Amino acid sequence: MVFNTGAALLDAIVLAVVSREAQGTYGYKITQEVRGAIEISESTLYPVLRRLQKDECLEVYDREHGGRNRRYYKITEKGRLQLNLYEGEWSLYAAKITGIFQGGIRK
Amino acid sequence: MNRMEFMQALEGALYDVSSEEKEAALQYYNDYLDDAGPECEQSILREWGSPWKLAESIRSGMNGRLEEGEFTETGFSAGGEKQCPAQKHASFQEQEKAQARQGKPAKSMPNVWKWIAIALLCLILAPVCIPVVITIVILMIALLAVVFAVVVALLAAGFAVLLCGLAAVMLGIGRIFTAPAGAAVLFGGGLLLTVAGALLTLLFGWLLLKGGAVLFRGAVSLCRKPIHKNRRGNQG
Repeated sequence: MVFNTGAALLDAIVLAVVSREAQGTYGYKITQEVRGAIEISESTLYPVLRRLQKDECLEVYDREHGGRNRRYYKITEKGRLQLNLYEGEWSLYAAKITGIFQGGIRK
Repeated sequence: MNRMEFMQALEGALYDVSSEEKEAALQYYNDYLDDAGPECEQSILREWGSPWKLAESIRSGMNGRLEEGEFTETGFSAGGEKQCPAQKHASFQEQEKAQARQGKPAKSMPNVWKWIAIALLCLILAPVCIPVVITIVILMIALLAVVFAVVVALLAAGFAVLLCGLAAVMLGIGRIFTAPAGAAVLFGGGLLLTVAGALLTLLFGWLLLKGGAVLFRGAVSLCRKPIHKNRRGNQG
């Protein structure tokens, strides 16, 4: 991908991916889903998830799966508000960029 | 490095991290490998790189330094250390442009060095070259002077022969009545000498004039050569 993904956009993408699962989801699955949109390495997401958890946008819990405990991430109310903010900002941003690309609409 | 070794090294690399953070990180990466399945294990470990690099990225997340850097497709990059391919491409083009701009001075550099080398060579060889050149010039001047002197001497000799011939003719005329036979010899010989002297004088006089003209023309053309060259250079 030629466009860099800033920390805020990556946060937004991760929150959106996690918010789609009401019961929460786990690291490997989040990574694979984020990779559907942007190119990230297998190791990129842990610091992001950890920070979102510290910011109380995500909460974690362990659930038994296949004879072991798997750590699940779930979006919090604060995380949902944050995601709404990101989505609104993204719509404005994307509309402006698209406007410029499609003929320079000036307001 | 297999999974066990990797995890042990990662734990070691997180020595300065609180046990809570360490456990959370190790749990996450263990989960990740479990969920990916054993068939993906090696490729994922390879992508994680070294345990120390992974530990560094874990620490960067903990310290809240994320705002300073940027996530790219190649992972987190702190403070623009890494560049995305597009930026690399752009900077490569910039470099090319810069090289193109510097093309002229770069090409003229050898010329400058050439002149510096010539100047140095002149400086080094000056003590030898200058006396040698002066010697050659003096020798040539001496040679010319010798040739000139010889020609002048021959001219003078010819003139002397002419004068002697004339004198003999005069003597012959003076003694025509007192000693007619001797006078006739003197008169005839004098005439021959006069003619021979006149011929020699004419020959060497002509040689002197001709040689002088050739030398003069040569000297003039030698002096005008650089000027001519420059004029041609300016026209070309």
